[in-house]
Amino acid sequence: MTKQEFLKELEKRLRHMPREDREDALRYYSEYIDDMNLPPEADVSARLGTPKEVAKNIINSCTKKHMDGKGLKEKGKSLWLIILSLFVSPLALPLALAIAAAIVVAVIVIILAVFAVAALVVAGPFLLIFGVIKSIGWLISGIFSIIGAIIIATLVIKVIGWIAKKIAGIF
Amino acid sequence: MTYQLAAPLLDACVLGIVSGEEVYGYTLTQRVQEIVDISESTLYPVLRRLQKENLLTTYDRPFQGRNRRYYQITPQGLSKLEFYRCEWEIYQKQVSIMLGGKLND
Repeated sequence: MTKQEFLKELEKRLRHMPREDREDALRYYSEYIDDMNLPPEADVSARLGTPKEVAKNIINSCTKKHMDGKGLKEKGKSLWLIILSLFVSPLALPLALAIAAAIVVAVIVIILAVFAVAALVVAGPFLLIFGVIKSIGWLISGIFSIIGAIIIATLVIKVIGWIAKKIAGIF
Repeated sequence: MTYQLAAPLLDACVLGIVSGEEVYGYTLTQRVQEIVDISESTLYPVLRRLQKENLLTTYDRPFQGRNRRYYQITPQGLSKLEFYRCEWEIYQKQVSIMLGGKLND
C-alpha cells in the first residue's frame, strides 16, 4: 500500500469524525510517512499497520478519553463516538443497522404489550360487572321461561282435559 | 522489553521527552521505541489527547518544501510532568522493595 492509498483509505475510515480531528490525523500520518524515507512504492502499512487498525486506534482512544470525562455532554459525546467506531468497518454498518431495527421492533412490541395489559386492567372490572349483570339477566329470563312453561303446560293440560271430557260426553 | 508501558506512564514519558528536546512525530516515536516496544501508530492518539488536554502544543517549521509539526510542552504540561515524576518516584521505590523481597524490613 503506497502513501496515497494509505491516506485515502484512512480518510475513508475516519469520515464520521469531526473534520478538524480527521484532518489533523491525516496530516500527522502524511508527515510521518514522509519522514520514514521509504522508496516511493514501499508498503506503508507493513510498518504502520492497516488504515483500518490505525483508524480504530484513533477512534478508540477518543472514546476512552470521553469515557473518563465526567458530565452529560461528555457522556453524549462518548456515545456518539461508540456509534462512530461501529462505522469503522464497512461490515459493521449493516450489522449496526440490523441491531437498530431489532431494537425498534422490540420497543414497539413492548409498548403494545404494555397497552394490552393496561387495557385489560382498566377494562377488567367493567367486563366483570357487565358479566354479572348479563348472568342476572339470564337468570331472570330463565325463571320467567320456567314460569311461562308451567303456565303453558297447565293450560295445555286443562285444554286436553276439557277436550277429553267433551269426547267422553259424546260417547 | 518484558514490561509494557501503561497509558499514564506513556503519557508521562512523552511529556518528559518533549520537555527535553525538539521533536516531531517521527523522532518522538523513534525515541520511545529505543526504550520500549510500541508500534509506530501508538503515539498519534496519545499526542492528540495531550494536545486536547492543553499539556502539549504544536508549531510548524518549514522543511524541504513542506511543514514539519513540532511538539512543545505547555506550563500545564510541565506541572503534570512534575506530578508524574513524584508518582513514579513513589511507585518505583515500592516496586523495588517488593522485587527485592524486603517488604517486611
